[in-house]
Amino acid sequence: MAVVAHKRMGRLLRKSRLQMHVAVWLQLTFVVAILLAGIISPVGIQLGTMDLGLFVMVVAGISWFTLLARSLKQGQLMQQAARLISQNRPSQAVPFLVHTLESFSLLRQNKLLALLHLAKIARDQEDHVTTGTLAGEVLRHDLARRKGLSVRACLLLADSLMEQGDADEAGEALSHLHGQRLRVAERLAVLPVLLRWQMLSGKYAPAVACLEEKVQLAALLEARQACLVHVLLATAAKYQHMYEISRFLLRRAALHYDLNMLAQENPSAASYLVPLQIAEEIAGRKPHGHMACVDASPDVQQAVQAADPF
Amino acid sequence: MRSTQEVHSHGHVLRALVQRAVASDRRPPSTLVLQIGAGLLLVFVALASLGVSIPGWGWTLILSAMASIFGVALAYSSWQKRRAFHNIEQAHQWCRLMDVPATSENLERCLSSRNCPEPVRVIGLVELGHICLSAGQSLDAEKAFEAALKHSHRLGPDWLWRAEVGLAEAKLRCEQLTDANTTIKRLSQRELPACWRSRVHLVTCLQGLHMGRAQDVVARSNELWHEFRQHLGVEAGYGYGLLAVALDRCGQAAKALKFWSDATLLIRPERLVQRYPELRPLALKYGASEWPW
Repeated sequence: MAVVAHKRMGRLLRKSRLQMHVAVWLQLTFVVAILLAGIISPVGIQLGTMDLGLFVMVVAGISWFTLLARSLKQGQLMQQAARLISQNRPSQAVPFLVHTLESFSLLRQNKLLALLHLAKIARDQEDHVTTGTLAGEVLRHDLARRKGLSVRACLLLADSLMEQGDADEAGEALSHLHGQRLRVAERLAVLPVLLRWQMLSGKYAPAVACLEEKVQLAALLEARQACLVHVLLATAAKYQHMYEISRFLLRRAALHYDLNMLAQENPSAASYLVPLQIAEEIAGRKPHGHMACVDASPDVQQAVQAADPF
Repeated sequence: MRSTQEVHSHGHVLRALVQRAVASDRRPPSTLVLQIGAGLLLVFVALASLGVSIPGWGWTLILSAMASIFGVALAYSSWQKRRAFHNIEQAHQWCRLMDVPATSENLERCLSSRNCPEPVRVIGLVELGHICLSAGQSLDAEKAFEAALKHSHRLGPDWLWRAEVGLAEAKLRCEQLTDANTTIKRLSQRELPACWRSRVHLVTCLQGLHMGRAQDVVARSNELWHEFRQHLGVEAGYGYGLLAVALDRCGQAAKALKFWSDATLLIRPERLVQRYPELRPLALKYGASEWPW
């Protein structure tokens, strides 16, 4: 089931885009009004018994504070939604996120965050078209870059495009990351997505560049992701004829996570994994005593057949 | 990874950091905005007491000045908060990589800030405790964890468990076995997510080794090996190492060698020994897996 119905999604996006424009203009209006009030006040124009400048300033100030308080309340809703998502209850978070997109807020980052959370939920539900649409919407706004949301949006967009089989567009999305100073957490998030794209587009040499650093970084990932990164690196190393390193990485992968489970949970990983394991068996050196040959489901086997064997 | 010598040279930096962080247990909240507000109030009181009449435009200017100062103070405070969160996140990642100098540098920046938000400061104490454990300063680690747990309501569940698991290990290393047992028992009885349960089991392995009950660990070694692999990521290497020690103590050399080889395939032996000195005899006895770089 789609995170939000497609028809409603378009309406929501249009509405939130319009509201974000209005928020910018409204803030600008408040600033100009306050500046004007400061300028006209010494002239001494009276509005009844009150100074006009003072009147304008008080009205602008009160309106601004009221709208800001309302927007901050929405920020709390966003926190609640984020908590629900982290507790693995995304369906309960969706109404909060939709409400944030529908109602007006001076703080545009609330809306961008809501879009990003919805994109993540859609990705988890394997609704890749919606994920791409939502992540693309976040990237339309310069504010996303300033608030550090663009990296996550780029990754979601690239991921959804790869799932839809569009490696070129995914590369285009990832190119937004060039030249950005990434934090460790962001570099961690980038690593698996970038490696997957490099493998899809046959860029094996860049995939194995700075290998030591990548392996060190993979140590910070959770078990399954770390295993996937090792499998991808092992495949790239194999294509680059770095057989010893490939074997080493595959053995490490098997110690990070159960490779059988990885193959079942992630068919695209299986498509890399099976040829690697077969190559190991042909070489007569099983990668690890604990690692059995992948017991692939029909879907997985299909993915394996489609993959380019060594 | 930094060298062991470099780690030890940072020992005194960590100790000083713990002393400072624990001493300033109750920091006042950010007072910048309050100070500015009080200052302006004093100015008005002074003007009123002097009987100065303020024209309409004067009020406009005063209001503009107040709004500007308030805005600047708010922006400064939120910048400080963002920087504190950034530093603590960096410290957390460096701590997981066991880079003692980089972690202490980030923690120093975060904990020494006057406007460091309380939740960030408490998380900083947890990270400080863990990096002290990595540097072999168990006593300091214990102090940091206890200071953090005094404010446990400020910690999210993950940080709370991280602090409690760390405290249990610190107490084991400080030979406070009764306290350590109580903490581990409490953690074991709690409903924890799988990855935290595995971390508790890692500490249980260490407890078994400290209490001379290696055979209990050996009895569950296969089950624990799979559990560590499933949930701990690269940290499973420490688990494999501790299992290898238990196996070695019980005379199962072949299996111990295999587990040690698994451990050293994930984590370099010098780092394993730095984090768990119990593994030193194994590092001397068995050969480690070879790394291609």
